[in-house]
Amino acid sequence: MADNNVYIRKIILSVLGFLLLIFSGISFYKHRHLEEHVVLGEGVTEVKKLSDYFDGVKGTINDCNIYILEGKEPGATLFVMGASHPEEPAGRLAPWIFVENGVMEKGRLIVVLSANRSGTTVTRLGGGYPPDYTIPTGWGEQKFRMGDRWANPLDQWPDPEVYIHYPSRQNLAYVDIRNLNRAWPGRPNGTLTEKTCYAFMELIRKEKVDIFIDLHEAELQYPVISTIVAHEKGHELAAVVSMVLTDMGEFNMGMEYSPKSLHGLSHREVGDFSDAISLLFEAPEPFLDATRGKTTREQLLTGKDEFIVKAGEHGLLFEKIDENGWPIDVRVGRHTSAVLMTMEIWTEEHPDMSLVCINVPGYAEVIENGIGYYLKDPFRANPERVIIE
Amino acid sequence: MKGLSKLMVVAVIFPFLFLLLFSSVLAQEKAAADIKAELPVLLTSCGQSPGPIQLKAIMTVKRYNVNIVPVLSLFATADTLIALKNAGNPVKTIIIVTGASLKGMGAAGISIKDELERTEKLIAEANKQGILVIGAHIEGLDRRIMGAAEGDNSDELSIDAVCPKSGLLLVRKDGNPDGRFTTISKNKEIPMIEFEKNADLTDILNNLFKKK
Amino acid sequence: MNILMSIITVIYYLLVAYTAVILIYNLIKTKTWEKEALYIIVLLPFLLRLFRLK
Ligand SMILES: [Zn+2]
Repeated sequence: MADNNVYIRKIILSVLGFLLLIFSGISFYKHRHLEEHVVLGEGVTEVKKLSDYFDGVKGTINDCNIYILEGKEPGATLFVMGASHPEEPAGRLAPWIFVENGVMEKGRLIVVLSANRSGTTVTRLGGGYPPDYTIPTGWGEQKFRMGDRWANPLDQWPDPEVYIHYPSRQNLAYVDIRNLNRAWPGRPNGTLTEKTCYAFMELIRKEKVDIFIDLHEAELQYPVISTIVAHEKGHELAAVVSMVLTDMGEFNMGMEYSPKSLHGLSHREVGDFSDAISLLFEAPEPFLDATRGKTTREQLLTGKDEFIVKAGEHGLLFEKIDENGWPIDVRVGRHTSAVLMTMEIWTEEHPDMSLVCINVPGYAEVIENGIGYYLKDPFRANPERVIIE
Repeated sequence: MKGLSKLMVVAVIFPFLFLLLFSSVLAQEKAAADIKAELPVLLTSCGQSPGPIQLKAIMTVKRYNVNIVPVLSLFATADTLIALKNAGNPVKTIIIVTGASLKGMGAAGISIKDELERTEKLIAEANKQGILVIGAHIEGLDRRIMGAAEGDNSDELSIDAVCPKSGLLLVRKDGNPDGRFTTISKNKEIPMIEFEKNADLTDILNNLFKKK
Repeated sequence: MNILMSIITVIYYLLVAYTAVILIYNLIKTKTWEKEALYIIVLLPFLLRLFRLK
């Protein structure tokens, strides 16, 4: 009799556990396979694959799309990279706006929306992160994959005890072996992440990229925030961009040197291993702060968080925050404005190698209209101009 | 009756005080505007923030229309000044940009202590050679203790190492919300030019180096 | 290095499967409900990894 009760209990508990497995499994599966649509703007002249530059990433999850916006007139080549860290959505949505809206009048723009595509298919393990987020648009809602700072462990495994960076041999945290922004310049026979970086380096070399911009977001408790981190080749450019943006009074933009002794980061290695100037832009993302309250889609998109405000009252932050938070439109607007300003300042100093982009909204416009205003409806667009990201 | 007389006293004293304050501000501004600097100018840092790079950009890029070619030496020492003098190219003005960058210093393998020592000797040699030392703070709160990590006072140490020993202060307003530079300027009787926008430096530098 | 990583990954998945089987075995054997609940909770991430869901 007692035995029977035990069996029934085991079955009930197992069924509950099985249900948990099913529901979480479905959520994780849907996240990993969520299809995001990109409607190619009139400025996109070609869509390539990363494997066009290096065979080693062919057939892998990291074989991302390369959007090329060839200008009407020749000029310099700018490469803007999104989702180097896929848990920083403004770093992905800003280049998205360039692909769907931008037209190059002069020069060439190359855009990547999922640099660490593997990292866009997972969120922090055990972190209870939202698997996706939606941006309201005029035609409905567009859903995006929320990602992680690291590549999905399903795609690259195992992690070592200590990650030894190639080629500097600098010792880094074990988990950073899956961090795209710790694997530059990569190598052709390395891990998936190293191969991905190597493929991008090949792209930069083969396409003769003049300026490389890596878009990021940072927690407010991190000192490198609301700033441009610049390789020495880009010091003057970054200095002027940061000063002009700050002078405009819309938002404050600082500048930091790319440390020569810190390896694996794009602002250091891309500049060292190619002819390109490498810059990295940081916007504030309260979602990343360890002192945040709820880990929700709402917090991710509004950047409102009373606990982080509290941390600010105690002087623990490197960027301001109040009850208005840091809405995604503000963060994306910072990035679009900073990229546009980089083109403008570069063109002033290099009139023979211009970069002129139109139809991309700056800070004030993105905030006024919202990001959704600049996202196109994939179901009403010419199907030939819709790409799955 | 008593209240009224008090009021009268205030009414008399207040405009007087105001006039006094205003005239001292005016005098200071005038003094700052009167100062002329000579070329060549050496740009350096105390704390290795990227400020000198920004200042150099203002002097050299077309947008700002200053067109001065400075000597950029982020780690300039007393020996640098001596060497330039011996080479027959003595420096006439030094602009030392204050503000610390942990990344900049860490990358160079130095500490704020090294920076303070280097700066002290640099200023001593400059005084010896009669070089005008301009203390600058141009990056706002990013390079003040309010914008630094808790317990990190390296920005303030670099300000103290340079500003009270300068012949002129060049300060972006948003870095002076607590009036720290105003106090240094008053107490040490050092003329100060305060500016709001980086672009204002065009006129300031052109005027300073007698280009207008 | 890549071959080594592949070998380790295969061994790793075998270990995950083995641990999952052990956990299920213990779940069947145990008599107290607290331990049963615990085994089920511990089992979940192993199964999620084994089925390559997370
Ligand atoms: Zn990042």
